[in-house]
Amino acid sequence: MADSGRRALATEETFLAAYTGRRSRRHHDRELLTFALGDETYALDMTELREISRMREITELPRVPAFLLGVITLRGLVIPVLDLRRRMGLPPVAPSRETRILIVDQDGEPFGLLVDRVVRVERVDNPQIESAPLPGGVASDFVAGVARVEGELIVLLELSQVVRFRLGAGR
Amino acid sequence: MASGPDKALTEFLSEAQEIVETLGANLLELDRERAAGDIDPDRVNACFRAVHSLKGLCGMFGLTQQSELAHRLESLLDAIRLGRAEPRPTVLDVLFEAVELFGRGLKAAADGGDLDAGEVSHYLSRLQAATEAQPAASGETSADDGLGGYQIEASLLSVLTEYEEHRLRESIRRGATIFRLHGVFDLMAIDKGIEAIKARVKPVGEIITYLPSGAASDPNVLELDILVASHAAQSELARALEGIDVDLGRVPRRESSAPIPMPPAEPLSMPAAAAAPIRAPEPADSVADAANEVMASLRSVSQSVRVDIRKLDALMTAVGELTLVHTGLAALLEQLIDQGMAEESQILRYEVRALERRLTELQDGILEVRMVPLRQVFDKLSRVVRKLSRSLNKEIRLEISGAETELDKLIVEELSDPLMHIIRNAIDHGLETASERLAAGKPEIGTIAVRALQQGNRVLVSVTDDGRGIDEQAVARAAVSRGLIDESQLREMTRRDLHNLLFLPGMSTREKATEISGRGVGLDVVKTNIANLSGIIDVSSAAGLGTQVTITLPITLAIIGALITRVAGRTYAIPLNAVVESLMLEPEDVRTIEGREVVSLRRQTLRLVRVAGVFGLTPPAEPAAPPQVASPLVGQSELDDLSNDHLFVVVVGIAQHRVGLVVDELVGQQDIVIKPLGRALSGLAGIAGATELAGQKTVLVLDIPSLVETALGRGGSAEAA
Repeated sequence: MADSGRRALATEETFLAAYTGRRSRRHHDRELLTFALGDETYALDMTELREISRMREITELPRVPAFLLGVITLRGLVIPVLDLRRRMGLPPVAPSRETRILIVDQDGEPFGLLVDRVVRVERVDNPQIESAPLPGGVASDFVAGVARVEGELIVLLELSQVVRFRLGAGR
Repeated sequence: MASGPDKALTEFLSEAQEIVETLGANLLELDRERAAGDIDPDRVNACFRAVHSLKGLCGMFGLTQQSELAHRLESLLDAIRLGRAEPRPTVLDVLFEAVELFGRGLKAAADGGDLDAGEVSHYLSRLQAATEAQPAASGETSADDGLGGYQIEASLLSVLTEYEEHRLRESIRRGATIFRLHGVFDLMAIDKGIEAIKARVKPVGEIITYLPSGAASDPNVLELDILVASHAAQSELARALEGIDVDLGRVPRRESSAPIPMPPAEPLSMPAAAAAPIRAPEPADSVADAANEVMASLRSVSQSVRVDIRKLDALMTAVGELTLVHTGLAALLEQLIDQGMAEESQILRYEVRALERRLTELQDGILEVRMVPLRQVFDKLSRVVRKLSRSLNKEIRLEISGAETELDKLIVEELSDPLMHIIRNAIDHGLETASERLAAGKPEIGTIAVRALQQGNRVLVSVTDDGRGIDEQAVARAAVSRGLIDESQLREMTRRDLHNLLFLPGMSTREKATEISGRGVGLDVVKTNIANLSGIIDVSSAAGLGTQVTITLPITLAIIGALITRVAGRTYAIPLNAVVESLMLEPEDVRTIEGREVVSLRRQTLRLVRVAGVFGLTPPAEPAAPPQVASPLVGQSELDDLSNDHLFVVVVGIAQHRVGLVVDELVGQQDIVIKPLGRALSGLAGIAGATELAGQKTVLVLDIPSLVETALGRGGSAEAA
């Protein structure tokens, strides 16, 4: 069951086909999924993505940090869901029709990341990604780099840090 | 699927048939070994065990003829294994005939009959003749003490069972060397340690006995002396045991001893004739044919198969994968409806529903297949009692009931060790000696009753003895002197609290350990094992009348019953196997002792835990509608009548601890599949996992052991009652 979540699902394929179909077929180093938190555009590597879920009821957990919204059950797996806005130090907003939960994979463990809206799949080459920290950026531990695509700034997240938290301390 | 008596009969036939087959196979091997002049004592034991099990099974199903038949065979095989009778070909012939006879008997049992009494008595007379025709077996050598000059202490000889002593003398007679292995075993893994040694020794020798040697000071280890008889040299034995941490030495021999007995007449090398697979005399051939014929016909009698549990696990996983496919289809259906194809998707909707129903059936079916009767564990207990009874020279009556009660295979297996511990305790600590019993006006023979009973989705297993009961004062003194509790705690304890002190680690009332039990380990291990199975253990005792240990277990761990509750607008599931009862209390029932809320329940004090408080919950702005669940405990109309002043208390228990969880609402009971929260949330206290209720709502399952421990402040405390 552990790797069943990795299986390509119809919904995911449809989604990818829709986005990738528009892009050029030239080889690129990386594929990034870009998404929005407020006015900013962030990205994760496509290899870290399992699937994209619509907003669904999240069951809250007792005595956890505010960014940890709770858990959802998806295809038989219990998945913790993080509010990426709060995690990045941004103010929370009410979910909208465009709100999505990105189901990502970190070392075989699934996590859900709540984002305002999915933008597209962006193909980039490594030289396009700068490791320079964001000017005046927040939560720089969570940033792996910055990519510039057609003049737009995309913040590439360091997933391993984003989903790294400890529970049970100070109890 | 068959149920009730039919199912029991089917199970019996399948098991009995398997035993008869085992007996037949072992007799064939025995015959071959006899011909080769080198009988493996384990072979005789296997035959003996098969017949013994058959006797018990047939007795249980009222098959008096077959039970009698097995009883007589058991006596014969016992004589053979103790060296009092010889497995000569004529005797084996008669034994083979019994296989055939049982075959016919089981076929008759399938139709509600038994063997014909005349046929059995005719057979028994022939059995008698075959046994009597042989002169009394030579038995022990008449020269010296039969120990070949080995310096084996009288104290050691006295604790050997008759069989073990026979094997020792027989091995010495056949010129084997007696070695002594000494090892220290972790009590938690002693089975594995002994199995490893057995496997290594078997090719080069024979283990005569395992004897605890009293030197161990660590209560978590057991030191064993193992006597091994072998024709191999010490170096060869040492090589066989390479990598196993035991000391190997020869048992010393007196210099003045009689010359080493010559190897017996039977050559150790295989005679050429033995190379043939079965060296059977002509009549045995026809017997074997007849037996095969019976087997062939038996196959049509039993409709059961035996399956490796791992195959069932694999099936269960496959069903889980199918569930994923179902979820995918359901998602596709939703998409179609979203795209305005509601009408076209009608057929798909119907098929998805049908798939869902079939999946549920499949899952239930597999769970049912995993269920096995407790009989296999109870049989093991019977053997232990028999062995202890013989080695302690203490006659014990064992009463067993409810052996047909079914539990998940995994639980049944895990239950064996705890029950063994409890029984050993009952025999060693509980039952008095015959003279003590007579003086107390009790029947001379002590009784241990093992009962199993299904209650809803729980199974109760109890072990009751009619012994001296728990000496509460001795327990209290021991607990205080060992620093497990202090005097002030002692004063507040009820009798039941005192009994439950026995479950504390390091607790023992015996000053001196015996080989059976009393090393201060046992009951706390039992408690841990039972808690691992989500079970509850309870002990009660009356001075002079006896002790009862009751274990309450869930029927399965995969799918469990849960009590669905609401707290501050959230829904939580409480595993029913931890729920003792549910109460509705008035606020004035609650008292506060040392800042903690308690209520009195049947004259016992129950600590209350407010789930909302533990989880730091505040009511949500808008109360969500309670989820739909089957079979509500409290009807909606009744709920409406209840004012909010009432407290709903779910009394939960882990091992012997009890705590009352305060919730806002009891919604109902439902079967749930607990799913783990995953590594990232493993530090979350108070939550055991999550489950999906109807309507794809994820609900948290409370972790009762952790909540109880938090409530009581200390892990091993026995203050709740």
